[in-house]
Amino acid sequence: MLDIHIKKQIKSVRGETALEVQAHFKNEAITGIYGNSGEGKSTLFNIIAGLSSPEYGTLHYNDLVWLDSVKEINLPTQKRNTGYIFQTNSLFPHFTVKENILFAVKNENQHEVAVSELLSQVDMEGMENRYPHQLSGGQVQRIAIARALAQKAQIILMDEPFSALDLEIKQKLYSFIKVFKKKYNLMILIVTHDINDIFYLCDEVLWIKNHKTTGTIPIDEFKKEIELKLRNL
Amino acid sequence: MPDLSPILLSLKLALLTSFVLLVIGLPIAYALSIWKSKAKIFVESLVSLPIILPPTVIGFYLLILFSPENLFGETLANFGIHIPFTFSGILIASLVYSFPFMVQPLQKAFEQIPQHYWNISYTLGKSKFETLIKVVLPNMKHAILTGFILTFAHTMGEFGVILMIGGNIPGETKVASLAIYSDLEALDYSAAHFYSIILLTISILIIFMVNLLNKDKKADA
Repeated sequence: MLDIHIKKQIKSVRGETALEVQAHFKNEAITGIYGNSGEGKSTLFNIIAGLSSPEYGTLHYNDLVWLDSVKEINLPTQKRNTGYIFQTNSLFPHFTVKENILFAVKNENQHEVAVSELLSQVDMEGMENRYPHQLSGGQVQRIAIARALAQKAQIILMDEPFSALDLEIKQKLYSFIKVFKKKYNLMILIVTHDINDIFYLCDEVLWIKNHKTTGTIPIDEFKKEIELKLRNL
Repeated sequence: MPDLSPILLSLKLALLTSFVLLVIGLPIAYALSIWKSKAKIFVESLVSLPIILPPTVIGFYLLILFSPENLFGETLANFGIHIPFTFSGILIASLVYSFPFMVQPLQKAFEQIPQHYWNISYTLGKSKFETLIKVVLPNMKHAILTGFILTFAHTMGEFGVILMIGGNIPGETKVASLAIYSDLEALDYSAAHFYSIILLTISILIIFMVNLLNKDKKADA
């Protein structure tokens, strides 16, 4: 589980404001991070990955302290072992598919065989020597997921991973993500502004409103809130 | 057969200048690409200055700086280091004169590398240095080659700055462009032609290579 309690100054369209997040993310669960543009969703991801530091806060993963602003603890990104998948260009363009996956592996010699196994898990057999520009958007995201598995990441952060994809490709990715969550006991956090992604995929939702949130809510509660919002339109 | 040493000297100078500028240009270009300060525009202007500054002005001030008549030049001379009218002198002048031709393409390339390439690499456990070597530099190989070729070409054609700080000493500072000038003065047109045709051929090859690189870059994009 991942416990986060942070406060960070961010720049929004309305000027400088504070992002305040208090949440508890479960292992083997998919949590959607939902909110309007500029709410601080990607900033939250950067804080979890260690790419950005809050002015104040704590971050605990299982029994480990990743961040404690009072005790001046801030575990570097390299030691947090989080998989990070972006909307586009998640792969390095100068590497082949195989090289992209091996780049995530600590000991390359031991994992030569594992690459083809990982590729078969994401339905990408025989694509080892392709370059990212020779793949479709959905294929790139599948390789990025395979790379996160090769990395043995326990937390996978996906920042708008479906927004550039067609519905059919999205649905294929949804099923992969659900399977891997169970198979590898993964904690998956997905930033999205599309409620369909959340309805199809997520177990819980962290809804950031006016740069603040006080915790995750179950998917059913989120659905009710959305329905209520739609009725009041 | 005219003396080949001016051509060889020009090639030696151009290669050394390009290699040295690549080594010192990379960290400077990187620092400039991430630096956020109001003073940045001042430093960038300083980097670009050799593009518009007359080469004779650069040569003149370098000559003053390294002259044993002045404190800096005198200090160097006390350590047995003599810069004016030596190969080291024209190398330093070339480094100053060609500096923007290396730094500018490199800085632009660093700025164009998406921040998330760095971020993904960090999350995959790689250090900043590993990321630079394995991810960032391979993705700016066109800019590195372009900077290298432009610097090389620019140095091959240097005249004024070399004449000012190097004089025209055969085997030491008499590069191809100076040889053309000397031969013309001496009305030795065949020797001037010889050096000119070699420089013209090198220039055509360089322009061809730069265009080929740009074409490859567009194809990659």
